[in-house]
Amino acid sequence: MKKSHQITPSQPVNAASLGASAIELLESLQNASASTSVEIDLTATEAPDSGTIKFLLAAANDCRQRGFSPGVRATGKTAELLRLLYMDQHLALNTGEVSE
Amino acid sequence: MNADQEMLDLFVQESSEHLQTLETDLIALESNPEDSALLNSIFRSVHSIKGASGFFGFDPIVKLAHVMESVMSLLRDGMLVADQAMVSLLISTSDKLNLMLAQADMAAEIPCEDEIAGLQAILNGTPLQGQKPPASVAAKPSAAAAPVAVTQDDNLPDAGLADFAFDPSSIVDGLKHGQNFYIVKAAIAAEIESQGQTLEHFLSETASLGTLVSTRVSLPENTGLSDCEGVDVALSFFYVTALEPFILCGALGLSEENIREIDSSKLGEWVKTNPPRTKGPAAPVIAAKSQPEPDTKSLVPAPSAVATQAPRSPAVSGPAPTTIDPKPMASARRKPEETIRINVGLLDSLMNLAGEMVLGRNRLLRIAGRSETASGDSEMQSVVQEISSVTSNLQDTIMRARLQPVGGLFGKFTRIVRDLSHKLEKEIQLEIFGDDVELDRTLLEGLSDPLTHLVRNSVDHGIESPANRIAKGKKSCGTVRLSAAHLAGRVQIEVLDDGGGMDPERLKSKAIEKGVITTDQASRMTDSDALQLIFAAGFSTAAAVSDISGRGVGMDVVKTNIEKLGGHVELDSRLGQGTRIIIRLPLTLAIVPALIVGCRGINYALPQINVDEIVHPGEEYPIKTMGGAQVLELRGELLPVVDLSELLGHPPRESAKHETFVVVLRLDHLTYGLIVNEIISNEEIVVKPLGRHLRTVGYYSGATILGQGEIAMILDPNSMAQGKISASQIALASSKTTEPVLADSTTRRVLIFQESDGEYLAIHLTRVMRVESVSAEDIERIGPMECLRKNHDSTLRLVQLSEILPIRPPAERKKDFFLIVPRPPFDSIGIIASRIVDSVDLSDDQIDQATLQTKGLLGSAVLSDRLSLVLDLDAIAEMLGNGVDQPSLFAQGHFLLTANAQQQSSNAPQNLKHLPPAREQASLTH
Repeated sequence: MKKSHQITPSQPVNAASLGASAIELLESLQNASASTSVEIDLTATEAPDSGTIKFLLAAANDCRQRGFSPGVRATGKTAELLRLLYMDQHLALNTGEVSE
Repeated sequence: MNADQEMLDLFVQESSEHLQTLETDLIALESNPEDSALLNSIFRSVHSIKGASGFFGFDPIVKLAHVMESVMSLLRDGMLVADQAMVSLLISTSDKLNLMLAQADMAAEIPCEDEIAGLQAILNGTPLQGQKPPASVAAKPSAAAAPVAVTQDDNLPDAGLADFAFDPSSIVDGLKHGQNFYIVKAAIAAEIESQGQTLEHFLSETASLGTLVSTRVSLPENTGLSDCEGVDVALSFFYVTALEPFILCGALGLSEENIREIDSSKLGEWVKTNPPRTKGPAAPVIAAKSQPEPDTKSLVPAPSAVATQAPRSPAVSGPAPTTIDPKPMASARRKPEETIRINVGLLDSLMNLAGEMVLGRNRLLRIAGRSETASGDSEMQSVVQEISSVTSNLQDTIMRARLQPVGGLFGKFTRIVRDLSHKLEKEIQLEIFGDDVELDRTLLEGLSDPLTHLVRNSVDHGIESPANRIAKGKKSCGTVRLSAAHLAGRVQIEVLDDGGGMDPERLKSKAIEKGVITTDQASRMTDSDALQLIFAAGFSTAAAVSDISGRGVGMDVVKTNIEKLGGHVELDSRLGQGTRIIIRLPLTLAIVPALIVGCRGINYALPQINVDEIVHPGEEYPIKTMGGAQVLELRGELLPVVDLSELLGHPPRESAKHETFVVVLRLDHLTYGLIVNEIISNEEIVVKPLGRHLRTVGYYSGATILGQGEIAMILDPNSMAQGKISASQIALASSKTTEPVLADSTTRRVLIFQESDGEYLAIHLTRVMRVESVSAEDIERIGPMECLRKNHDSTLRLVQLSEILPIRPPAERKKDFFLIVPRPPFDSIGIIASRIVDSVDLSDDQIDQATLQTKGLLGSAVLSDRLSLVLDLDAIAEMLGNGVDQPSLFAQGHFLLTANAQQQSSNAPQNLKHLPPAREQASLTH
C-alpha cells in the first residue's frame, strides 16, 4: 500500500548529497497537502551511509513537527541497513521488493 | 541414490517442514496480526522455500513464493495489518506451495493465478474482498510516534539498557554460555566511516562476532533537515559476545570509551524475574511478566492454544490455558546441532535387532534359570543378569528413538478447526495440551484419521452456533481441547468440547428407528450404555448429512481403527455441557500382549485385543451343528465356530476324544469362536513381519519367537473369519453377539476366585481385562509396593486384597499364582488370586448389601453354593490411592530382573480364563 504523499529525491541520498537532498525535501514538505503520511522513496539510493541515516532521522523529525507520519521506501542494501538499525522505531519502513 | 537426488529429497523434506510451520503460524497470525515473532517466522519460512526452490530451478515455486514474501515483508514492516481475508489468501498460497513441492517437476501445472493476483492486488494497494482498506493500510502508530521504543522496566540491571527495546529471551542463550554483555556507542561518521569502513560493513562484522540484541541511532534532540549537516549520527547497540573487552575494542576498531560492560550476574537475576516471552524481540520487556513460560513436561501437558477467533477465556473447567504461538516443539526444545536426520528404515532395522536380542535374552535367562545351571556358576548368573539389564535398556532406548511428538499431528487440527469454524460460522477456540508427548510413528500415522473424525465431529455436531450458545448462557466462543499425556505407561489422547453434549434418549430413539436395538432393550438401557450406541455401524443422529460429518460412518470406524492400534476409546457426554472422548494407546505396536494357544502340538499367538473369553465346551457350553455349520451355544447365544485345525488343513484326528477350548474372538461386526487344543500362556510378544513367501497365506499377520525359543505364527482373527464363516452363521450371530449386556443390564457374569484358602471373592467380568498366571520370582518390590514389570514403561502394581479388606490373609504365597488385571483405567493394578474357582451369572438383586457393609465390597452373594464377597473395584481403586491411574503412584523405569517375566502354562481349571467384551466402558467423570 503506497503512502498518500510520496517524495522521491532527485539523486541518491548520502553524505555527499545530504545538503541538497535536505533542501529538496524541505521544499516538498512545504508543498505537501494535509496528508497524514509522507513516504520518502529511497529506492534509488544503493550505497547508504551515515548521510542517508542522518537525512532520514532529520526528515522524520521535520515530518512529525509538521504533523505528518514519516515513512521510507527502500530496497536492497538500504533496506537491510535500515532494518539492522531498527529504523522502524523512527519511521514506517516499506521494503516493497525483497532480495531474491 | 546419487548426490543430486539426495539434495532434492532434503529440499522437499525441509520445505515441507517450513510449510508446516508456515500454516500453523498463519493461523495464529489471524488472532495476533501484529505479532512480530510470527511475522518474522512466516517471512523466514517463505524466504527459505523461495531460496531453496531457486537453487533447484523450480521457477513456478519461486514466483509464487516471491510474491507471498513481498506481502509478508509489508506485514512484517508494519505497512500492512493482516485481516481474515488476507490470512485466508496467504493460507491458500501456502496450500499451493505445498502442492507444488509435492510434485516439484510439475509445479507449473498447478494453477495459482488467483493467489498471485490476490497477493499482487495487496501489493498494489487494492483491498481484498471483505477487507477494510484503511485498517490494512494504516502504518503502525509506533512507527511514527515516539522516536525510540524503550523498555519501561525500573528494575533494569543497568540504566543504559533503558535505551533499548529487547526481550529477555534474546539474552538467555548468552547467559547460559557465560558470554559478555556490552553497550557500545559510536559516532558513525567520526568513529566508523573515518576509518574507511562503511556502516553496513561495520555492522555485519559486528554481527559476525556476536549478537546484536538491539540497535539504536539518534541525532541530538530536535535536529531537523535544516541543521543536520553539522552533527553526527550516534549509533549505540546492546551486544552479546564471547570476546573480552580489550579484544572487542580491537576487533571493532573502537576505543575503550566506546564500550561499557554490563554485569551479567545482574542481568541473570533480572531475566529470572522477567521470564522470556514467546513473542518477538521488539516488544517492550514489561509485557513479559504476564506470560510465564509454560511447563512442557510430559506428565503435565503443555498448553498451547490456537484461537480461531479472537482469543477468549475458555469456557471449560481445568487448568487455564495460555495462548502461545503454536510453534513446532522441535524449534523450542532442541537446537539444530543436537539432532540429526535418520532414515526410518534404519530405525526399524534397529528395532528388529533389539527384538531379536530380547528373544535371545529370554532364552538365555531360561537356560540360566535351570537348576543345574543356576547352582553351578554364580559368575555366569551375574553376567546373564547384566546382559539382561543392558538388553532391556537398549530396547527401551531404540524404541524411544522411534517416538515422535504428537504435536506434529495435533498441528494440522489448527487448520481444520479454523476452516470448519469459518465455514459453519461458529466461534471455536482450539486448545492443544501436551503436544510434546511422544508416540511410536506407526501409531501416530494410524491415529491421524480417527482423530480427524473426532475433531470434525466436535466442531460440526458438538459446538453450537454463537446464537445458540448465548441463548444457553454460554460464551459465544466454544472450546475444543485436544490433549495428550502419559498415564501409567500408556498415552492418553483426549478430545473434549464444551458443546451441546449428547442426549441419551435421542440416541436410543435413533437406534430404535435404525433397528440397532429394540424398544424393550432401550427401556432397560442406562445412559452410559446409550452413549455407546454411537459406535454402532451406520449410526448417526445428524439431521442432515453434510460434507463434514453426519453420514454415520465415523465413530464405528474410529473405534475399529483405534482397536487395531491396540488401544481403546472411552466416551462421556453431558447434555448441554459437552463431550469427552478418551483414547488410550500403547507406546508402541512392536510388542503386543498375546494369548498363546496350541493346535496339534504347534503354538500360535492371538492378539489379546481380540480375545473376549476362553470357553471349555461341554454340557454347559455345547458345540452344535446347525445347517451344516458348527455353532457354540454360549449363555443363550449362538456363536459361529471355526476349527483352527481344519482351517490350517490338518488331517482329522483318529480319536474323537481330544480336549478342546474355544477362544471367543471379537471383531468389529462379528464375534466367533476359534477351536484350539491347548491354552498355553499369556505373553508379550515381539511382532516380526512375515517373509515374502508367507505373505500370501492369509491367516497370519506376523510371527514371533516365544520364550522357549520356538517360532509361533501370529493369527489374524479378521482373515480367519473371512470366507470361513457362512452368511447364515453371521446372520445367526448378528442379532445376538452385540447385545448380551444390553439385553439384561442387571445380570452380569462374575469371576469367582480366592486369595487364600478362606473367603471366596467375586469380581464382575465386565471390569476384568485379563487373568495372568505369574511366578513369585518375577515380582519386584519398590518400597511398600510389589510390582510386576511388563515391558518398557508398563508396570503392574500387585494388590493383596487381605491388606485392605477384612479377609483372611494367606499363610504364605504360592510360588505360582494368578493376577486379575482390571480394564482401564485400573489396568495398572493386578489383584492377586491363589485360585480361580469359576465364573457364574450374578444378578444385582442377588447381592446382599445389608449384611456386609465394608468399603471395597458391593456386598455378598451365594454363588455356586458358596458365600462370596462381591468386590467394588471403584472403591478399591480409591482405597489404593484415590485414582490408581495416577502415574505418580507407580514405579516407572527399569529394574534389574532376577528372572524374566515368563508366564507359565496355566493350570487353571477349565472354563476359567474369561476376558470381557471390549465395549464395556469404565465410568468417567469430568
